[in-house]
Amino acid sequence: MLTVKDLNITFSRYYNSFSQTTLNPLHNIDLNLSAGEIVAIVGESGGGKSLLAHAILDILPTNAELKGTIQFREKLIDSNTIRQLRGREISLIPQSVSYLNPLIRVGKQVCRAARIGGLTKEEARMATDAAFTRFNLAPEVQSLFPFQLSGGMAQRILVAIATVAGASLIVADEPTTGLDPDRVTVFLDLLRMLADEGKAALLITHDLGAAQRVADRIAVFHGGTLVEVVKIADGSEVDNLVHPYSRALWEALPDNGFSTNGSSFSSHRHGNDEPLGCLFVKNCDRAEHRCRITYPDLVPAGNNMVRCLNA
Amino acid sequence: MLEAKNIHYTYPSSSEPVLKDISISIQPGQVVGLYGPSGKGKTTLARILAGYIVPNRGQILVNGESMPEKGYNPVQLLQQHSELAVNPRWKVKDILSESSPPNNKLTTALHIKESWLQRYPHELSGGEIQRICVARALGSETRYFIADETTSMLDAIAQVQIWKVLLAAVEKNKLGILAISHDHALLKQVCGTIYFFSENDGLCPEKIA
Amino acid sequence: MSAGTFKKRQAFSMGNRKRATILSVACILFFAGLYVAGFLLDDGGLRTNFMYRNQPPSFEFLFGTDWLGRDLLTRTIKGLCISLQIGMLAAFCSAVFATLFGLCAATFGGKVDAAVTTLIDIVMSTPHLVMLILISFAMGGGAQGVVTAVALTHWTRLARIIRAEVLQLKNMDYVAVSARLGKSKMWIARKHIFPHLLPQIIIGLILLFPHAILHSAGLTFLGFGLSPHNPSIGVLLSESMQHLSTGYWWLAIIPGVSLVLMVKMFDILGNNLRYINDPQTSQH
Repeated sequence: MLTVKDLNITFSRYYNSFSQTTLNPLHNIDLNLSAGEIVAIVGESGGGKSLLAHAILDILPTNAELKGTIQFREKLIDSNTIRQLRGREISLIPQSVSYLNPLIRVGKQVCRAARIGGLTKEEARMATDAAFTRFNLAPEVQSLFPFQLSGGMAQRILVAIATVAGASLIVADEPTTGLDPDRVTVFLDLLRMLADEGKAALLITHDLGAAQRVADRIAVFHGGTLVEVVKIADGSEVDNLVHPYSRALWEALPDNGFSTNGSSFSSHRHGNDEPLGCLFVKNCDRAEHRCRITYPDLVPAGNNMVRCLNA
Repeated sequence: MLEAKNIHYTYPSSSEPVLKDISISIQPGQVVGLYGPSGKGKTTLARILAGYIVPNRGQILVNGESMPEKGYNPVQLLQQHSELAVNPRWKVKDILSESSPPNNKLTTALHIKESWLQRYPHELSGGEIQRICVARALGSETRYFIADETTSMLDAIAQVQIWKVLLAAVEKNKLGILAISHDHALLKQVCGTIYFFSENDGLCPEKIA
Repeated sequence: MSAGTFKKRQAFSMGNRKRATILSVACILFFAGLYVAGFLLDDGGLRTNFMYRNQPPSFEFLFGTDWLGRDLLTRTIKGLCISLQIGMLAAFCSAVFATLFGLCAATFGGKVDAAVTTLIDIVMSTPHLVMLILISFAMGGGAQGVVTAVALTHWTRLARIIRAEVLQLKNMDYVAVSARLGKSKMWIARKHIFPHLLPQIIIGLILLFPHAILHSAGLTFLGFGLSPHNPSIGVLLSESMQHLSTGYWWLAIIPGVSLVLMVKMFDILGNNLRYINDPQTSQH
């Protein structure tokens, strides 16, 4: 459904009063997403994962430059076509309840999202009612204001707004950050339900624990690119990670040892110059000479795709 | 010992009290966890303990004395949204040395890089800013730390690195920490005692197996 | 998404900040030049010369001459220079009032805040021009009348901005953190609050200039401002009205357009400075 090929994003920014430099926070991203699948992008906070979501929705800041292609249903997405898709075919689940309008009753907000998604007035009303039933919300909730909602209800409303117009690709950017465990569960269950209905979901999160509970595949993001893509069998945990960064991330989880073998850092690549060597080399205990001079490609290793020469 | 005695608090804009008769104490060298649903006053309690909010009733005692109004506060708060706790117009090196010149050992342990010092906060990630905030708050006069969802925005590796530094300070300087989090697994890793915060009963100690 | 579809974004990305800086510097240089020119120009052009009455713009007299044969170019430059001085003085006084009132309201709060806010509301709700005329008239007209009138009526908006800004800054988390780290109120005001406020004040001041200049010209035009001996733009425009029906269009159009251009340049300067100063936009 969604195919990202060789995506690169560069930013120009000033490093002193007048001299510009370019940063390359996202590079060599290849990813595809099919219907009924949840892919989680997991990685360090603030490392640029969100830029991928912003690129798909074409909401990057104006000083960003993008190379590579993003296809949705075999059609290229660009600034023109995205207008037709945003809110209709592709929708975003925002991070928190503060994205709801505090002055409008939630039923109306869901209905408005449906209208924006291209439904007629009558259809929108029906879709709203259907969404409330579907997400297990009592009809009375429609006339509540956002501040009257409990956490779980608010979470459901956010999902309802994103899906009421029948979007087939759902992008969720850090949707579980700061939520209490009950709300995380509510959210993940909803996401799974939507995927089982044939929608595709891209879940961007720093929480590997949440990701592995729901995703079909996990893509580990480090240093501006995907270092490992791993398939997860139903209900099992990821224990077959190969890349040293993904392993470190896994071992740092409170349930898995809480250890710090790795470093979460990656420096952003500067400019458009070809990287020299693996970006993880400074933090890797298996680094060899060739790791310093050859940039690894994402290659199959067992059941995973790994960007490591030692895989 | 950091003590909160019979704290009551109601926000000026609301009629429902958020905190009703809450008491908690933290010994030096002790890490206490606080766990519970959101929106029930955990953050308010954190802000009261750190002296950001004055409670309607009840008192906060640090080693038996009330909290100093001026000067360095021995109780420091680390909150979830670290980017709000730094002045966006200051360079990182100024932020780091706001209380006292940064301690090299500490900055190394927190993996704070030399190259960040000349940058502005918006050029760093949340995890990087949070490390700066930890280093700033770990001054020699700090006795207690209120860690309110300090690492919930961060990836697992950053979380471990920050907690290792905090736990080392607990060991070495007999710091007392109140850790507030939704992540029960994390609290089990770092805390000796965990309280469950519930609406009706206030704080209930939770047995750790 | 192919590389070619983002031309607009790429074109935007290069050097917006450079452009803003160049525009700002150009504006400042222009004002400085005008100011110096106003001083350096000899009064020859202001002398009456009946040989050359009512000349339309030509190479000899770029802006033409008036009914007394005075060179309109000299008069316009002198006029703009006077307007600039009056405008700067009035805007500066306004900004000082605004800062004082805004700071007091936000710092002391309570009754002081209520009093200042009420005063702001009163000043803002009375018709501008009536206030201007009354004050200028009461002060006996002239430069002092114009400056006082403009200064007393224009401080309100900036005062509101400063008050809101300080109230917001006071509640910022990093200010609270600073207090917990043992910093005194003075230290916080100096290191945290003032550096945020200063650019606001400067930009507010620059955006006050055009108002002050326009209103001083307006007052003079209506006869409540500068005396006719000063070749200020208001005087020029006012006098030209008597000759409008005779077809001497340049007498009104040229000084009028110059005034509008100068005001617009102050606007450009203010907006560009705001752009450069904002850390979010200035990265583009």
